[in-house]
Amino acid sequence: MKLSNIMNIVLLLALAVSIYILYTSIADMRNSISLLTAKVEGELAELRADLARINSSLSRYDIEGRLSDVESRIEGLRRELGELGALVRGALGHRVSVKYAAGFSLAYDGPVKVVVDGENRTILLAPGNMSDDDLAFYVGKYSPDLVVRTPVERVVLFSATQVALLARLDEEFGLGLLDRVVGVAWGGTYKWYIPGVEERFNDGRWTDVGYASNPNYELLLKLRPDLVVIYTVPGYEASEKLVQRLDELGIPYVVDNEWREETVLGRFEWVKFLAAFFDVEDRAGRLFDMVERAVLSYAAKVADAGPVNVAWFSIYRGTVYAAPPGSYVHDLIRLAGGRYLYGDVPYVSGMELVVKRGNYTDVLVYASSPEFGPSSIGDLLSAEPRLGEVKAVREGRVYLFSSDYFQLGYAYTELLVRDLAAILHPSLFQGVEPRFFVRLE
Amino acid sequence: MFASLFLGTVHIPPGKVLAVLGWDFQSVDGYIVNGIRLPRVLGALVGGAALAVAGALYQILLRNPLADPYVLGIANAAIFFYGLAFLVGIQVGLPALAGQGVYVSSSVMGAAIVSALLLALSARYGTLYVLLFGVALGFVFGAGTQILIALADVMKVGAFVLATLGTFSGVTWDRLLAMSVACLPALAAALALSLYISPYVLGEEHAAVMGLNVRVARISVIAVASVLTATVIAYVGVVGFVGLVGPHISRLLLGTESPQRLVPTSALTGATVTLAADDMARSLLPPLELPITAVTSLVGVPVLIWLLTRRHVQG
Amino acid sequence: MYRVRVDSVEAGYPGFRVRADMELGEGLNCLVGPNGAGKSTLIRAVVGLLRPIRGAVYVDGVNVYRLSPRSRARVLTALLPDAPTLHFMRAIDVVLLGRYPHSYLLYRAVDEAMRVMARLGIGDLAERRFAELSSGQRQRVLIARALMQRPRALLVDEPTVHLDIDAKVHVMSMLRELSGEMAVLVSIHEPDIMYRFCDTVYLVWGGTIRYVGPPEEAPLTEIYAVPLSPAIGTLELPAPRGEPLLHLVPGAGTCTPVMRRLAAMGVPFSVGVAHVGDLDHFVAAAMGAPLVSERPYAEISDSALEAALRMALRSRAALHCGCPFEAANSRNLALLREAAQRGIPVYSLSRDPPVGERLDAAGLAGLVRKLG
Repeated sequence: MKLSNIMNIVLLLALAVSIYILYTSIADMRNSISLLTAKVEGELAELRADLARINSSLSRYDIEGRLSDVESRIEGLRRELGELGALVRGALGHRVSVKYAAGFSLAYDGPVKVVVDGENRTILLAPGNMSDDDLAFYVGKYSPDLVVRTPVERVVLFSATQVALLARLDEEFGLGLLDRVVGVAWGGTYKWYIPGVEERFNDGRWTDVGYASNPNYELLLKLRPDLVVIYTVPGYEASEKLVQRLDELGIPYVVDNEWREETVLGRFEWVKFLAAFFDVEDRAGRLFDMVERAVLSYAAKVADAGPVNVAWFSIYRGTVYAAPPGSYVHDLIRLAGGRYLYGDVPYVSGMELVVKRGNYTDVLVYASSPEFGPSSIGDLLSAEPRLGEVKAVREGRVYLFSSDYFQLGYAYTELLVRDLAAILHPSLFQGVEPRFFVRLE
Repeated sequence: MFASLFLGTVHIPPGKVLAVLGWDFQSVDGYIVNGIRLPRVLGALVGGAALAVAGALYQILLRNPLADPYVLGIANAAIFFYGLAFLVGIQVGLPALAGQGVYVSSSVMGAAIVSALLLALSARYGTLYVLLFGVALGFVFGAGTQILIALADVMKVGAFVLATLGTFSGVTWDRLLAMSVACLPALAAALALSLYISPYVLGEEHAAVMGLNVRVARISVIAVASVLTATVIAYVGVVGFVGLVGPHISRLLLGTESPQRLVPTSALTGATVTLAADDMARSLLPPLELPITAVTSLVGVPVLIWLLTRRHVQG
Repeated sequence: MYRVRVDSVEAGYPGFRVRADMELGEGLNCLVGPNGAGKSTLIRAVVGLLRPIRGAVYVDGVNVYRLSPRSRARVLTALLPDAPTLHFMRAIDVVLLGRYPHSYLLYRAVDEAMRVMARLGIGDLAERRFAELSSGQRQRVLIARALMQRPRALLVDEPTVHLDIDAKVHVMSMLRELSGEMAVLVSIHEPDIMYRFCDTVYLVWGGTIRYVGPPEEAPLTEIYAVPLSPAIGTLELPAPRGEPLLHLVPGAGTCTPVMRRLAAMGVPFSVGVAHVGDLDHFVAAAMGAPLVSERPYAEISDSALEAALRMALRSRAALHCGCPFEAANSRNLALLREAAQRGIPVYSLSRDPPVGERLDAAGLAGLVRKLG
């Protein structure tokens, strides 16, 4: 036998052995597969049984109904989201209306806003990105006294109440409006009660541009404001000069005469006026709605409580300076459930009237603050002994303004109404401590 | 004077007034008559007399018919110090007057400072210098007040201006007493002084050769007139015109400028004009009370013009 | 009698001082001097209106500076030049004020005031308003006021300033009369008043008293630039300088008005022959005009005639002032005739001219124009 035949035989043998081995291992594998298959099928059967159990419990808890409920809620949320979106878009199209204020108006026309301010000037508020051609169209349409590009970024304020109002908007909505203020006409003549104001002056973020009646015009020019918010006093020479100078110098200004409003809500509504220049009047509208709801709810609470007679004056050397009839104060007293005793009296009057109505006077608001007014009822009586004839004085129901009344009271109008209502009707407001009035001991 | 008790912002029938007068402080009407009207009427009499006498003394001393109690700047100083307290909050006052309120202590301080300065000057310098200095001082304080107003909050200015107008409505029994304690001795002193300074009508030098100690006369006139003026400013405020027109009315009525007759009669005319003016202030437009200064002019000017033209026709 | 001694009183203002020693006795003492000489300053110092720098004033041996103003006013007082402005007060009220140093209750002295006013001749003015009186009446009312003080010395500053001549004489006579009862010192600046009323003159000039004595000898010419003729007590204008246009032939005062006219017009002239003692001679001499003199009442000498003729020939014309020619001045006529013969035009103011062309007083100006 040849060697090659032997090799062939060996190869054949090896092949046969390999085939055998392969055959036996396949049989093993087939065996284990069938075992596995039986196992899986057993477990599947168990699973099916579980599924059947779960299915039966599901039907017991009415999952379908619940799901559709969730779906309808999601639908509702979606709808509100749509409204919110509309509000956000409202910067261009959504209107905030003026309900109470008599001293200004606010109207929308496509992308622009038209504001009439406290001196009856027409001001056109145009978005900062509006093209000059578009702007020219609206200027031609309204021939405004002033065009302001909104939102304004560099603002100078002229009164503490304006500062307070922006501070409240910031507090409620975190808008950072005070950061866009660059100057305030302060003159160092009074103390600030609005938090953070003094730091802003100290660290130079705000510049004091001098006295509101006669500001430092050079400083004012240097600040390059987009807008100066002033107030005017009709017939007062300094006011006329201020307006004249600002016109001459071409400084853009707007007249915020909230103080001349004769109703409480009308006065607070000027928050919308101020906000319009920052393009946040929707937020101002929401704040106003909230304050309005609160004020009207306090008014409703005391409506049936029976009127309390209120005197509101200060006396200086026997001359009585009473809040004039038909004034803001008159409205405030009415809302708080009081009857104003001096509704028929002009600003200046005499002690005879005070004594004559003395026995009807349930509450006296002595229009002065602790810094300037009397420190106690004894003090009040030594300055004007004839007030001893007034019932409110005898009964100790005499109130002064708090020190921050003139700065913050207006920005928190709803608290003013609540305070006065609580003073007039303490039984309906148990536990309420007046925020803006101080009882004279 | 009696009629004044029937006038007021509150109407009280005359019979009721008479019924309660003098004793009833309990009822409302009684209190109005006795607690408010009576001291006010008496205050107007005392204050008017004091102002007219002070005006007469200054007119004699300065030999200037336009002189009035405020010619030497007292009123301006008083207003300035009040402005300092009211508008800026800087209170300069005398502790003894603390209970009387800011105005009284501030304005008395102002009047006292000016008076003291003028007295010190009048001891050393002649009348003309004192007049010039007083007028200049008045201008300085006037300018100071204007600055205060320019710097002040607009809302406060109106109240301040109103407050600087004098009024008798703040006169209570206590204040009437305090006012009288200062004014009545000063008025008596003015009467004595009117005898002492009688040669002054001929002029300071003529008076000097007639034996008048000009320096003593000058100092005492300024002292007495200052006390009268400052007291009225403190309790009533600045009441214009009475001090100017009172002496003139006396002069025209009596036909003399002799101090010994002018001073006592000025007290009477001043008291009368002031009371009439206060009556009108209270009753012209009730319940509004007008500032007395506006009304003193309303009452005083027609009387003065009538007297002047009557004299002219005679002449 | 009352005697006032002003002892080395020195007073004044910065830049100006006046110093004086005086003894005021009986008679009217006058302080004379030009404006600004210090008369008023001195009077004000003596009476105590101006604090003197040094010195003392004694009235009857009492230093009045040591007295209170009131006591001093009982001893001496002054009348000041500026009249008080009053609108209503009657004369009697003003007089009554003089009672002040004696009593504050002036009205008690009404009787005395009426007596004083009656004595001064103004009793009927008592009820009149001071403002309505004339300056002279006011001055007398003020004198009455001073008398009410019963002073022992009265100083009067410029009492005659605003008065007309009648009132001047009246007031000065009154003061002169008072000088018999009290020492009176009056300051005046008018020499004619001085010559006529003053007994003793204190001449003030340059801050001190330069002369004390009778008015006639007062060296006024040293003080005033304007010529004075003390004998007549008038001032004259100085004669215009230059070549004389006219030669005047004087006599018996006839040339005096002519000379004054010419001096006022500024026309140079010469005068001669004039007798010493003639009014024309006083005036021509005071003016300092070229003058030829002759002894009083003497006939005109050859030399005088010669000199006057030379003057006349140098003039454009000769003017006879109108004096009649008698024994003593007859040669003045000869002078005129000689001049006429030699070709000098001769004019005469005489109604019946003995020589030359007649000229009336109004024609003088025309003549001057013609000649000039």
